[in-house]
Amino acid sequence: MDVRGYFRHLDYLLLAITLGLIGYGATMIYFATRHDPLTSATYYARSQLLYAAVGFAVLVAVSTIDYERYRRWQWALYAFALVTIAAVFALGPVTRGSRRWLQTPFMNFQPSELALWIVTVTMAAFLVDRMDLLGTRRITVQALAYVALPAALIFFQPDFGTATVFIALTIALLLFYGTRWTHFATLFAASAVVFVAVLDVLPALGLHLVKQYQIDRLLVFLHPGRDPGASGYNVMQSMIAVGSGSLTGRGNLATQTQLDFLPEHHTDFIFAVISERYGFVGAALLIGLYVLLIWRALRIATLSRDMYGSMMAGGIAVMFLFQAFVNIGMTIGIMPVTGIPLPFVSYGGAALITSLMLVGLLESIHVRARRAVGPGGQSGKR
Amino acid sequence: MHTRRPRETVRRERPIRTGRADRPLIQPPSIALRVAIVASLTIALIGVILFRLWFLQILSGREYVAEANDNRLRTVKIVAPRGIITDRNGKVLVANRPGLAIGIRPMDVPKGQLGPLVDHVAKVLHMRVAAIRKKLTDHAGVNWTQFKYGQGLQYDLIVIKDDVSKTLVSYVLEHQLSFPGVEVRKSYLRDYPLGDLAAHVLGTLSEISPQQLKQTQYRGYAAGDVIGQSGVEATYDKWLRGHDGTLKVEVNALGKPKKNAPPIGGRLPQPGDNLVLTLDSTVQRAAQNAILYGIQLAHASGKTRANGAAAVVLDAKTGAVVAMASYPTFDPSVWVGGISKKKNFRALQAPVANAPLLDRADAGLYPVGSTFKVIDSVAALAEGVITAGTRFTCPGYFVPPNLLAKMVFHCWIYPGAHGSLDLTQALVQSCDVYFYNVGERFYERKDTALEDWAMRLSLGKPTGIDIPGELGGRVPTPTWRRAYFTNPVDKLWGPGQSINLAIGQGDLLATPLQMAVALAAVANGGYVVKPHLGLKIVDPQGKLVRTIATPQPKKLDVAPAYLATIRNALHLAATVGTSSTVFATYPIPVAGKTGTAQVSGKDDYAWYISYAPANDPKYVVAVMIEQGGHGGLVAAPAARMIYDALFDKKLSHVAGATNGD
Repeated sequence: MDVRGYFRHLDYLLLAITLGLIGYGATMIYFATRHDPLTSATYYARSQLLYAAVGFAVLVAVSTIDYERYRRWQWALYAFALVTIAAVFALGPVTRGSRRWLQTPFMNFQPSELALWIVTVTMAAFLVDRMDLLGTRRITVQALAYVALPAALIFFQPDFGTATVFIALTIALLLFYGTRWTHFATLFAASAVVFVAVLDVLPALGLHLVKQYQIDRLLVFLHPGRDPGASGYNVMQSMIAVGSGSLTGRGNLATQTQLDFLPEHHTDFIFAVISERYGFVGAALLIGLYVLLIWRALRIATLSRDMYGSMMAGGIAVMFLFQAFVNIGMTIGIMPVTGIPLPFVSYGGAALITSLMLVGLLESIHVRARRAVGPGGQSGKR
Repeated sequence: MHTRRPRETVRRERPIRTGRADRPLIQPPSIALRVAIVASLTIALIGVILFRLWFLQILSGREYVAEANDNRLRTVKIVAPRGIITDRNGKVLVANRPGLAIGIRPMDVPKGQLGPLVDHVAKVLHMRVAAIRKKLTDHAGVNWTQFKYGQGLQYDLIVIKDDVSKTLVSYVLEHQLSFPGVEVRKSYLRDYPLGDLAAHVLGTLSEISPQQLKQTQYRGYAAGDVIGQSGVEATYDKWLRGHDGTLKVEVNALGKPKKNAPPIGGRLPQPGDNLVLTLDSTVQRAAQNAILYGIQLAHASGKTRANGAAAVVLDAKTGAVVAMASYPTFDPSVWVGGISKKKNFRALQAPVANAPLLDRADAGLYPVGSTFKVIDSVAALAEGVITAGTRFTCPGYFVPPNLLAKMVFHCWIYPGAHGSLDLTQALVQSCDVYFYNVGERFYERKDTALEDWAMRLSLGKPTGIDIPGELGGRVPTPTWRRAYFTNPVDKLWGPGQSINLAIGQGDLLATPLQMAVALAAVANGGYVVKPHLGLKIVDPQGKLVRTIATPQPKKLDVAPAYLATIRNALHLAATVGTSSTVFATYPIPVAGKTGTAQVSGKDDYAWYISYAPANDPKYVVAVMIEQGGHGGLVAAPAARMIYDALFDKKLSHVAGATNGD
């Protein structure tokens, strides 16, 4: 491998943004958990940094691999993802009403998170292998079927949030693949029908595909004050935390976080911690970092040497956008509570490592795009 | 099934060969367009977030800061010790003792565990589950289902049971883990060192009811406050209760105060002021013993149904209540820490207990019998119906003139006769016929002068004594009669009504307190006093806070000479008349009137209203024994026991005599 070329063509700004997000996140995890009586003040922040270190090693590894290889191994990877997700049902321990984890001798392993990365590369490969079907209805249906398998398995773990990320990813890949807008319109109409059927018609007929708490959580953001004792409590407390941050934040007076009124403060609701402590300024800074991240991903999509890389980079950009928007929207009461973590910032090894693997993939595309162009930077016609 | 394509890299800038007949070559999609779509979407979504953040943080920031502070700051109530109550000499009637209360802090009960916790607590405290639920929900103002699901949750400790035994408390503390949210708190409990002394007057405490909370007089009170519900505890609650303190603490989401954190602010509790009563505990004890003695006398004389009595001792000039006794009585300590409905309250309500909670002195309504002749005399002299020298002849019976149907009213002496007597002799002998004549003369006037005088002398409406629950009784008038009866014949006010009223029979009902006030007016020269129990309020250090104003007596429009005539007659009655066997040789000159009121289906009610010293009246003593028989036989000796205490005489038990009425 051409080591010098590799280092020359890395997207260092992307790495810096990633590091910035992780550093910001770890700092906020520290402030959110330092008063936790069960652990030392720095336990969660140190763990997060440890996960980040592991994630960076994986990032580097992924960035060195030519993504073209994934096309060859796409079915094996896809099968691996399905098997590990399915294994959770048989082997995973139940935590808080759902099975999401596999215990391995080294660490706990969350197949649905890894599957996010795997499906990004394999579905993009699946679609790019079928560029000749561009514009046909058949390929749209096939792509939906392709994602339906892992998404359904994850949905029934149950992990509604991660399942929706798969949907967002699929739509992004189809967009970059070049699917006609009429297909998107049809999909939108169909999903509206399904939504109403699942939430309204089928329960009336006695068939409950989704659990009541999922419906409650989905709908409570519309009226968080209606049931402050249960589902709405988290959202209410989160909005109080965010709102009380005002322009510049409450600093060490961030009582919503420090007195545990804010639930899940170092995981799902970390954005509220930031907003309470550093106010609008701190929140805008974080959002700015995400804008930069998405900009870098989209830029890589345009630079990519081939369709395959463009599709993956575009999918990754939309995925980060989707996760960040849904998570932040949840903490400020404009999106339902789905349990989607804030990428790079929420505490949690599995999601962090997956996000870093996706950045690794972006770097891989970037490095190879630049090398294809050559050191002169001029795109030679071949 | 289409054929597998070779795995070639799809270059973005080259057309794609499809192998399809309809579209052999297609142009790859424009990545720039897709990127633009995603970028626009990004801008739109970030815009939504920033707009929302601007709304929450910049526009509503202040409100959310307030909400965050509401979240973290809790005000804890520190109950102030209640003031003590003493008699006029400083003798403690009601004191405080420290106790332990067990309560539930619903905020500290883990979600979903409230139901099982209440069941568990009920078992341990030997309480009914429903009773505990009611305490919790009354406090929160919601129903149980709402409460269980977290509505109306407050930080306050809701006291479930006060005055809990040490054994129970240590059991709960040792098993703290199985009682999440249950706490033990120090409390102040009422203590009654003199037992049942003046129980009716002192009154009892209990938690404020949801209904009371809504009333304007209880503005400023909070759910869970323990307040005086009867007696002077109720009237003077505002002074006795003091001001509860508060403690502001910072708590976490579970409602637990932060460890080692100093309280942020608050107010120390201000102990309640002490109440000094006009009561004299020695006289009060004597009065309680005296009416019991009167009942025993009644039983000894064959009136075995006697089982209720009352006595009132007033300062003749001011109306200060020196003693007020009612029998049967109760032990006020059963209310301490909340009366148990099952055992104690039902026992007090049982028919066999004969209504011990009723204060017969100011809420027991009785026909007053011959004691009413004192009121007759005042009315008749003041209205000029008779003069002191007016004489009537008593042949032992009385037939009203000018009556279509012939009616006969007997004197108590019938078949004997009193012969000719004046007012003094009539009062001394308690001659009924004399007063039948007076009543008939009042009837001839066709007005309500007699009734008006009865009301001026405090009958027919509450006297206004400073404890709740007093009743006003009834002075029958033609107007009342028309309204009260339905039968047209009964609606008529005939001479029989006036004649009956004149000897305190018929529809007249009054309390012993009212009769004491009426006699006091005769004794003190025509001033109708307002009886009162509160003397002064002193702070816990003993410094005077305020003197409770003695209500201004109402002056009657009656010549002093008339009252002097009556006083003279009443003194003679006690020395040579109806109560002479009791008081003829008594070292203190007493003046008094006996009464023996007839009640259909019951034994006669025995009355004695009196004052002493006869020449310079200081005290008025009224005694009434339900179904005790003759006033002179049972009520007058009881009154004498009270005078023994008032004038510090050796206890001298004297039997009375059926010497007249």
